[in-house]
Amino acid sequence: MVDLTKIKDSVIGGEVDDVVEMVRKAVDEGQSVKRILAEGLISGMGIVGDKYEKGDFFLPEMVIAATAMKAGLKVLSPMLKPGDVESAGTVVLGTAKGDIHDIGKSIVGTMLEGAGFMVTDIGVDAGPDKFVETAKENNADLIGISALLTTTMVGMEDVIKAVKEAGLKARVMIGGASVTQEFADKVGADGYAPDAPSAVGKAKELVKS
Amino acid sequence: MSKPRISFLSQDELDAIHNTSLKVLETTGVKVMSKRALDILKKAGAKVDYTSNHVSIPRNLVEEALKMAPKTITYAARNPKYDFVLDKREPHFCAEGGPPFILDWETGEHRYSTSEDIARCSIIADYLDHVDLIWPLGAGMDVPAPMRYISDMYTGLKNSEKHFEGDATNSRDAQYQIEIAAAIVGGRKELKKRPIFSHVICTVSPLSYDKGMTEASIELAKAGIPVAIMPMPAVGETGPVTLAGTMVMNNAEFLGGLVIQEFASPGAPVVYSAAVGAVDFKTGTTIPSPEGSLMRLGISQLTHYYDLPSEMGSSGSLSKLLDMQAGYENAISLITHMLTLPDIVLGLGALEGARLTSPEGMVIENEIVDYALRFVQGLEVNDETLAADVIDKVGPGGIFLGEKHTLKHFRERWMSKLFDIDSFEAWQKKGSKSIDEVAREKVKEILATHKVEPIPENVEKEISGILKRAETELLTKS
Ligand code: B12
Repeated sequence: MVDLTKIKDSVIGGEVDDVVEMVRKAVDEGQSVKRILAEGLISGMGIVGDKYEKGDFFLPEMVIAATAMKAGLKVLSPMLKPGDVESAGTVVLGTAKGDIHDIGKSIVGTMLEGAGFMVTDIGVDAGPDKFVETAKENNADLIGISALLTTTMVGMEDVIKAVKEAGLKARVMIGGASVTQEFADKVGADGYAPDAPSAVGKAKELVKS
Repeated sequence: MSKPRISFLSQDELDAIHNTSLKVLETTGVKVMSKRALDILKKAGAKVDYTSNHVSIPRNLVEEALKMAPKTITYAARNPKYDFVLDKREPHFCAEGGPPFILDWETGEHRYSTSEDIARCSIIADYLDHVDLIWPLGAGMDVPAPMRYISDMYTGLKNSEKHFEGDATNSRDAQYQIEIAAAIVGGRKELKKRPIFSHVICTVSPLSYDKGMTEASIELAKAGIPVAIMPMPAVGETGPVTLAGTMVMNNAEFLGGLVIQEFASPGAPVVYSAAVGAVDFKTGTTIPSPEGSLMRLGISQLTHYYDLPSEMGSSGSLSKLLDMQAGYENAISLITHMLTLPDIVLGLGALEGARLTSPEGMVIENEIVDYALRFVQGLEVNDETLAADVIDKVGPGGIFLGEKHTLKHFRERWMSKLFDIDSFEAWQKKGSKSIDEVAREKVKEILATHKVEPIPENVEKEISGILKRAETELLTKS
């Protein structure tokens, strides 16, 4: 029997191939999919998040662990039933229309994953339709929009409007180099965060409320 | 004259960076999101895949592009007395472009910037003797977003007589900017001869070229407007974690961009730029660092290797105020950059990693540049400067102040015009001011007294027509 703590350790160590192999094996052995996910993958990522917070881990370690976690999740996903994923919440994340800055957005995504969120990253230059469609598909709790240019942050307002018009339950959180709390209030975003760690805090708060 | 210079990469090392870059362009290839650029590359002989936007650029295309690229470029200005040539002889300095926020010098507030701020910062930059070109210090947040790059350029050009550096994220931005500049110099032909503006266009590391920015740069190439191609790979993030690897990335992306520009318009003026940086792996932010400087200096050496005009991003400062950190980060960056003699060093007047404008900071950096320019000029060793005669004359225990030799040369010696050199009591008597307070007073004085030659009324009229057309097109489209 595959020891689930070994899967957890391999997520922490970012051993992508080992994680995939062990998850496959555990599934073949008939171990509970829900437990593989919770005790192997998600708990591994949780420890990575803690280590980052304590200052022991850095971004490269976070990113590779998240890759390992997601590779394991991909093996499990055909077998998962709706209630199986006990994540902190489902997030759709992207960069606003006309904007191709994605470093900050991707870091926010990794940190959210580290905190137990399921994140779908729709990439850069994303318009309102793409946000709304993906949020619907994933039944998202939260939409995160990034914009670094003063010329593209106005596009965030269009996304917020479209989300409201579509009647989605998802809350909207925004951020990026040119964005401020004041701007977020003006365009009617539910939340703003100046950096990735505070984005995690904000996301938890928004998903709960 | 013996001049202090840094050239720490050997010829073999430069060859290795060059050859690895060519290999990357050919084997790994690049991603080009513009169909127009793909057509140009295909016609030139590159291997183009229209469905994946992947392009493999063979070595000979890069070599041809390097041959076509001009070795020197004139950056003209609205007032010809401010024209200068990029010919690797002396460094020039550019005000930083586009920080969304400004540190208000009257209230101390950290707030969004406006067209009024760009106007006032342009007047200050126009006044400062070491600012040779102006990227608009700020973003006109009062202007509707689709008009902003066009309007900010006009605000800059109106409020300074110096060369202007712009941004564009699509070809319409570029076309309207070309029209405005042509109106000022008297037509497109004249503009080609005397480009009063140039552009910084970024590649998207790793190895990608955005549609909008690439099409803007093709438009500019055709109009004869210089384009500084600025890759910005960050160590371990959008570039390899090793410094040489990230330099390869910067170089490959520059060379790929050069190929597009030269085959779009042979002989197009292209400037080699670099904003490579090292990052803080806790936050992912690019930071002013010894490793960032090493890469930029190395790339500056590469621009000499290629004999191409260069425009180096300074490492800037991440400080949020005009404190000691801002001072030393900017001073180290400005001085070390100059030791490799780039044509232009960018970044004056910005804090918080180019997110915050500080006009007082620009005044202080102007003085740092003054210091650094003197430093790179070096010193002379000959009979006159060895001064044996006057040493003999004054002898042990004397004083040189009243000597003819001193009188003849003392004005050559550097003296600060801004920094505090007073005794404690004299400093106290003048109000116990810190350098930022002194700079703030200077800012106020410049704004109260400095006059910029206005753009002639008939030209202004023509330009407002252009702006109206731009508004009709760009504001109704979306
Ligand atoms: C790197 C960079 C680029 C790279 C981007 C590479 C990439 N793959 O992302 C390249 C070179 C491609 C680029 C291009 C351009 N850029 Co740029 N770029 C930057 C730079 C230097 C750093 C951005 C960055 O990555 N920071 C590091 C990350 C970790 O920080 P961050 O993005 O701010 O993200 C953090 C927070 O903001 C927050 N956050 C981010 N997103 C989100 C989302 C949510 C939901 C939340 C809650 C939080 C959050 O958390 C993140 C992590 O802590 C900034 C200056 C700056 N200091 O911000 C300019 C800057 C944003 N760029 C600017 C400009 C002008 C451009 C160009 C027009 C330049 C040109 N002439 O070509 C183009 C535009 C391209 C386009 N159409 O989008 C300007 C914007 C000016 C303005 N007034 O709008 C800036 C401010 C620089 C400047 N002063 O000129 N750029």
